[in-house]
Amino acid sequence: MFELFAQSDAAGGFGQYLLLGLVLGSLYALIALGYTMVYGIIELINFAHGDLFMLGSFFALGLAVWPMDVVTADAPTAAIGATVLLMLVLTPLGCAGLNVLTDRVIYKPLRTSPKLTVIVSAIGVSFIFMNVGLFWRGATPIKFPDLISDANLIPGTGLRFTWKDLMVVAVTVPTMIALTVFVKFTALGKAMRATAQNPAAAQLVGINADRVIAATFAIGGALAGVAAVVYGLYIKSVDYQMGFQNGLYAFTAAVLGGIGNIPGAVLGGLVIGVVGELGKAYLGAKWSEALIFGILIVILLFRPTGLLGARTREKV
Amino acid sequence: MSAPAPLLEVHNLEAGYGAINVLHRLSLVVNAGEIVTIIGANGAGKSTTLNAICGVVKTRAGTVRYTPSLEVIESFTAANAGGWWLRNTGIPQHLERVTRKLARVPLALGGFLARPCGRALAGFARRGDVPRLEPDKRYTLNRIPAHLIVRLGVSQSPEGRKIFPRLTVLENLEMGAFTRTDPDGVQADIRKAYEMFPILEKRKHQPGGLLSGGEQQMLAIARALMSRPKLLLLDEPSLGLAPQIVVQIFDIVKELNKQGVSVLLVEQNARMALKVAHRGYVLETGRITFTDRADALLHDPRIREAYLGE
Ligand SMILES: Nc1ncnc2c1ncn2[C@@H]1O[C@H](COP(=O)(O)OP(=O)(O)O)[C@@H](O)[C@H]1O
Ligand SMILES: [Mg+2]
Repeated sequence: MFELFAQSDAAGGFGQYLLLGLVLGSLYALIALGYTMVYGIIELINFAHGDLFMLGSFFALGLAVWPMDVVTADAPTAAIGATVLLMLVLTPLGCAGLNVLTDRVIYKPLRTSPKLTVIVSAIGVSFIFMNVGLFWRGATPIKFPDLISDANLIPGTGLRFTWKDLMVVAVTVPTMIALTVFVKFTALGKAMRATAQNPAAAQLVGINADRVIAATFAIGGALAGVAAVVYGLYIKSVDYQMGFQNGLYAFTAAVLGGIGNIPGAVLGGLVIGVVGELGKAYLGAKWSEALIFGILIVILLFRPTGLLGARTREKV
Repeated sequence: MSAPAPLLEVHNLEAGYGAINVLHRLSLVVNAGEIVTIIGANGAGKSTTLNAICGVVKTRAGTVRYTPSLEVIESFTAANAGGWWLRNTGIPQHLERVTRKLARVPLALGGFLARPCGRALAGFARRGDVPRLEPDKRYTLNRIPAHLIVRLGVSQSPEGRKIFPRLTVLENLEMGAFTRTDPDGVQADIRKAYEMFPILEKRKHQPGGLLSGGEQQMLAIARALMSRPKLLLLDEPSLGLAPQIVVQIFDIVKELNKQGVSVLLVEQNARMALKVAHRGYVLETGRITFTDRADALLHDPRIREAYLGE
């Protein structure tokens, strides 16, 4: 009995960590989608994707200052709303453009080269982006404007779910739904899946692989841009190395879910978010990462294709 | 009889993989309205030939010429008038609308800026995906990007079930009609495909990869027909199919041919192929060694011994 009472607080704690894990997980999922979509189509692990996310957050930071100088939550609500909206429109556009440009200039000429060549170039691009970030904003972490309230939306439940948490959910969930609808039902979405599954047959039916690949980089980049804005507003601190760690988590999420698989990336992101938070809470921050990668290794031992990877085997 | 009009002329074609050449100065002709078959042993280069015609395998020398009818050119040009973005996203339509609005901005109110911008947008909107094509021209297929060749009316049903494994049967068929801009016609053709292969209708919502080998083969053929080809390239369509379905497929080939589709047929089942075809080519290690009318080949002792198992 005593045990139970003693646990009741921790149970609330558990719910809280779960909630936080899901919020962070949906962020990882957004980034993971960029890895998984590009991998699905050209089998490239785009190591620069995390750093694109970092550059996106730096860009969003600039937008807080530039048109309206909204850098604190004291600014008028309308100004904050407009600024956040502007970030959510321009940052994805910028990231999409940069991603497409990178593909056009660096990966596309290597399309017929050995896979390893392209991956090494992606690592190179990652370093270039990181150094651009370093040059742009310096080495010390920068405060991202704290624009969204920390007021609890569900008081009296023993849980905390703030406006910030709501913002993350309100941005990431519709984005992922839109992406799913796009990939499942539009001509371009179907063409993307067709190209990923059989590039030669896709050409035979008249799909222009170059355009499909460009569209994939654009969408992956845009998702990284959305994630960058949400991350900045939520975590309130950005630095030039944030792309590395978050990119690694997101990449892990993509592999965990089955790289190349879109629902898999979302599932993987949520799993990593939750496991990471629970690990931090119950095992301590220093064990959290070990736990994440431990789980990754165990899952890959039993399901080498990831949680949702390759549900239908190709009969070759 | 008037001289046959060549639809496809392959001239001294060389193609291969890596360091090896598979096709050696290969030449063949498919006339409009003909069924032509290529027979040859495994590894002779039959699939490579079809893929080189479709642009999936790069050619190293020689030409693949194609002379489509005026009708094909017109539909091709119309379908590409708005370019890929129009057909797939509709974005250019919106841009056109914006452009029209911008053109109404009075010069004094910034129209001198808005109008050139509008014109640039309209230019983007109308930008086609393809070079402008003119009738009465012979197209050199091996200089055209692979994905455009199907728009000229050349479609291939590839060997070995190259369907899209994680798209449903219905989506596979829709992808076969990727280049078309007439949704009603596409729906009608999907119904036709189901009539042709009722099993596909039963499985329309299943992923293609879960079909049996024979069903996948039917799907590959049905998908190839979805673009309404003028020249159909069939790579081993009878592979893995039950005998009565093989008969059905060859009936379909004859029927399509009556409707004016020319066919280049690659078959292991040389007897069946020679029975439906008008002419045949014998391919041996990348070289055409023999060509004649199909019935003559069917009775040629050398062919009978080497390819008909007698
Ligand atoms: N993708 C490929 N890479 C390397 N060699 C290939 C490839 N496809 C076919 N080949 C080789 O090219 C030759 C001809 O193959 P193919 O055209 O498939 O013959 P067929 O269709 O007549 O059986 C064979 O020797 C085969 O091994
Ligand atoms: Mg073959």
